Amino acid sequence: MAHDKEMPDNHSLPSFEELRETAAEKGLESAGEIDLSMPEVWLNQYSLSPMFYTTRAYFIFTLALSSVVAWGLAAWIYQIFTGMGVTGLRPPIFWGLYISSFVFWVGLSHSGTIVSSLLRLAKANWRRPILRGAEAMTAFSLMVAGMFPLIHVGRIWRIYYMFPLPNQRELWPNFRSPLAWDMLAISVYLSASMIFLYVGLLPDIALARDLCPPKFWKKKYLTVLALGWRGAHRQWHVYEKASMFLAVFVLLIAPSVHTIVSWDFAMSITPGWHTTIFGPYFVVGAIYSGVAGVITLMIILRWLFELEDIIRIMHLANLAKLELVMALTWSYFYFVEFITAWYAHNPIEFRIWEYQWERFPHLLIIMLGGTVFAIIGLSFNKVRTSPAWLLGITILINIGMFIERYLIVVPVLTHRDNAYTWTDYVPSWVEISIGAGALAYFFLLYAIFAKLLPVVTVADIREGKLVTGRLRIGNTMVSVHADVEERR
Amino acid sequence: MSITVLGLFEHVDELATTVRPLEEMRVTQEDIKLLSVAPYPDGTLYHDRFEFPMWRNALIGGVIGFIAALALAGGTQVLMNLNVGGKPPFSVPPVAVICYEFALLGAVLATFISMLWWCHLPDWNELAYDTEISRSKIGLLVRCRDDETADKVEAVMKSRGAKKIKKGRDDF
Repeated sequence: MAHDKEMPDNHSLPSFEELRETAAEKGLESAGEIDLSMPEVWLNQYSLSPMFYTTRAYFIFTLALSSVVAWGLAAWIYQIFTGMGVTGLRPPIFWGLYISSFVFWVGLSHSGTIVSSLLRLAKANWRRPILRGAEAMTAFSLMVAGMFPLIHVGRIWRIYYMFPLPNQRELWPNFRSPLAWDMLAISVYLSASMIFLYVGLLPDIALARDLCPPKFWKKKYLTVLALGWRGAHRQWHVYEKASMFLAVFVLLIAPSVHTIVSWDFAMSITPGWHTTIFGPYFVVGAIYSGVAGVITLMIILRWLFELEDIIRIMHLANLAKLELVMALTWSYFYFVEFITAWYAHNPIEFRIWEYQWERFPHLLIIMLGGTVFAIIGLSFNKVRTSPAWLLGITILINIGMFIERYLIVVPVLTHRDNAYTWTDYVPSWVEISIGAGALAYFFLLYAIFAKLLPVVTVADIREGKLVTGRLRIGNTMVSVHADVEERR
Repeated sequence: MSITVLGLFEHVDELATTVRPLEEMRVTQEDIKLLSVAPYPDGTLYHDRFEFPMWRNALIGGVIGFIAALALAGGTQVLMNLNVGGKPPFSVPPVAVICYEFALLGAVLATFISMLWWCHLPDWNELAYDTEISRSKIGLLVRCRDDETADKVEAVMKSRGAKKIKKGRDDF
């Protein structure tokens, strides 16, 4: 493990390997999701290690990501200077890879806050190490999603037409348009998600501030961002109540946002899009895709920052169970949407289905086969407890979900009511480069975040340790969680 | 002017036993703070009777957001009367969508601002604190009227197992 030159004051602590050996020698206890006897200094060192230690894998990872981002940025600049003709978009196909990517990234953002909020409200004890990663995923995937409408409009300098401000002619945006709702909903969701993320971060930023040596450059911004947090009992009390309130509000916002994204399509009287099931179908798809994204990120974080003792197998296994439920739910919704269109036999809609199978059989096989494979795989405990299997399955799920978004957007536009306008769409190298750049940008944002701010919820883990214990029942030991009741 | 005494303890049980002697010295609950790196349940030291109607502020924020959206989405439709396909200038469903989003945004912002207000944040002044608290020590911060009380508080803390004691002025 390569270390930064400016090491914090915990450099005199034993190495992870030494600590692990000591733990093994002493036979330290574990309560499944929380290592009860993990020494406090070890917990600090472990949880904040991504901020202070840099592995070689991290350098290689971020360098590779930066290169792809630079390539995507160059492609975008080329598109701005050359015009939208460099894309594969041609009349009547005005929505292609950019809008598919937008829908995909908005969807991916969903599970972060939904999972975090639900687990917080349910007081699920195993939630603690995964909260931050999930919340950050929401914020960053929304930031990536928000780029695509800017890229898609071509003339980016005209984007202010969508802002809720009057333009030079004193005209306001048309709030009756689903596109205006979409812009506002995404902005609201991003603002709420950022606040939710920051509130969760606050005690951990204060912890990182305290553990930074005075001359360490990160100390300055950590001090500012910690806002002077001291962890007074009254502060904790207010903080916990505010966290619960925010969890409820974010939980109310999240489904509405993806419903509104679905209305971009469903509100038009276009065969293939104009269906009442689109709202819930999009939301379910978003959670399905998002939980897979959370699992993928947790596995990468474990590997990249050596957090195996914090993000444990049981956390991944529990998320995998949730993903299995979502895979089944999504399959149900997909079948309901398909059979309604198939049975009605609307000629245009039926032609769209036929076209999908004629033109994109390989994509459909990946999408549907991936989900079937995920359902079968995630049914087995061996798969749910294997990071390698989970990584493969969750990546496959998200590839499938991207294809699903693509097949919602493109085939409908290539086959609209007038058969004389039926055509084909192939994304250009510019669109593919920007799409790849966006993917790399998401991971790069995450990697930078992990270097600058605590990526693990230390305060929450400590609270978990506080209320978790071991109880002997007969010849076995079980973990117990205190139900701390408010007596107000 | 007040004098503060900050004692750092290893275990919360040691710290909890200091409350009664402090009360006997007429130190009120308002003059005591428990500083910790993780949230301890209410009642660890004493039951805090501090009231903060978070729901009320969130509701007010939500109502403000709702009215702002109504003015923005509904008001501009009426003012401009942009005729789109012969539809009425003011239509309830689209306005309802925007009102819903803005009401929730208002509630989120109000909750966040209220949290900062009740937590007295931001406050970057040098207040009584020790970074050992981040290494799992538990801090008991007591505000005293005079030096004599501060000395007595210090003695109580020492007798109950405080590992470190710091004194300060006007930094409660």
